[in-house]
Amino acid sequence: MMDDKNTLFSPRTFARAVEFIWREAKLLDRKDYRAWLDLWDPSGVYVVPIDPQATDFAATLNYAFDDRDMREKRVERMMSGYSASASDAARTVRAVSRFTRSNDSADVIEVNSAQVLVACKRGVATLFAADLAHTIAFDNDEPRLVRKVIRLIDSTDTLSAIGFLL
Amino acid sequence: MSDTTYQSIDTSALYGRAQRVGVYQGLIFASFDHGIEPLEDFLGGTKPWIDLFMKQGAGFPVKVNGEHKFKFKGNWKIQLENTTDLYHFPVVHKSWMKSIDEETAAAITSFMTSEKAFCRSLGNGHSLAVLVPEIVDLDDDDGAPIPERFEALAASLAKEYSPEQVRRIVRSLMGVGFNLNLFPNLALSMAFFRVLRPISAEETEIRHIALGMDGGPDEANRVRLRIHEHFQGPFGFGSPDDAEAWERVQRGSHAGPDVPILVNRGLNRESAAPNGEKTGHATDETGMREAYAKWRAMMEQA
Repeated sequence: MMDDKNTLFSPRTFARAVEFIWREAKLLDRKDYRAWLDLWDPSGVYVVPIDPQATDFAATLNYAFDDRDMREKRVERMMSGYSASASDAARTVRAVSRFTRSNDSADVIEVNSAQVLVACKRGVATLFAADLAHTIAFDNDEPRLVRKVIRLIDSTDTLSAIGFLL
Repeated sequence: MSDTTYQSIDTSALYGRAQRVGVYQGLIFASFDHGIEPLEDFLGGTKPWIDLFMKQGAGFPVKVNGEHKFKFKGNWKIQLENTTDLYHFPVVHKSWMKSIDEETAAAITSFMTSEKAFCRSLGNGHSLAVLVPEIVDLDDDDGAPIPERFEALAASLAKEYSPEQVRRIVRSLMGVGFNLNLFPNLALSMAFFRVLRPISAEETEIRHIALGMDGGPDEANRVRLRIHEHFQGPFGFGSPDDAEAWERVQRGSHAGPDVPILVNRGLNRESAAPNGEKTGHATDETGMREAYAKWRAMMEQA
């Protein structure tokens, strides 16, 4: 017998979440940041933590900890033409895979994955590898991003400046 | 049974180079050179400014509250120049300025025209740039209204703290209104510490160390963290544009390795502060000249 939860946990929902994450990855590689903003729920939070163990992001220093306002400002900055690092940002290609799901809510799914991103600038290719955690709401017709946490595997090391979105 | 794996050796001869350590205002300095000048002499003219910097604890001790580390492909002296280089700010950081409220943006660039802002050589390679004269001494409350963006925080703090304490804490959120550059590699810059580490002639690592109030209100410390994240680090709205400019400077330098680097801005309009310290306009290269003169003197001794 199928109840609501079983419906959500169906392979189809999982496949929709994966498709959503791949669509997001494509928007980011194309630097279509305004379209990326539309993927978000207004209450959504975008986080790039430093501390690999951190869960209370408000209480710790992060690389990025963006609510809606900061996300919009970040995108505005990158599209404005006033930021030399963003205007001359690296070209990126990212692959997202190794999807697993972990949640028990009726209308929200959390998907964990691995992201390998290569950024090319001035003849140098730099690797950014990260564990991703997407929280995606399916309570409306269109899935919406409620939370994205990007845990770079070298987050506690010394990074080069990043002129694009992870 | 005695362990004969290792031959007995006198390790004191190998590891006898204990560091000489000095402490000022909680900042710990160490050197392997036992003949080095006393810390007080080394710090010299920077001491009153370090004292002022530490007032941003707003009555609480200043604590380290996380750090950003990032690197750029360029010589460390490019970053050394940056700390008391104010004129790059409105240009390089325009995108950051557009992301903050107009009131803050105006305050932070008032040095372009303010009579009270200045750049100063403090001796020993050290330098100072005052960019927001109104918050140089956080004990001097000019009574200005609480900025709109901190009103909600101030209202919340008022439940636990006196009106005076609330003003003191809120006035300290952005740190002090100056950057202090300690030659060769430590900066006390508004609300954070900056430590440079040259990796090679063409690569430099930078630590941006966030500060907070030890035992102070969590909600105010969190606001300080958000302010730090907004500008600093490899993913901030400010540091990546600095790094972009520095890497371009480094690349550009290869076009003419023998071409002199000019740091002559304002050379003809310097004056002496009451204590004799050389002082220039806030946008002048007085601070850079002090650092480069010290660097050259040290290189000539080497």
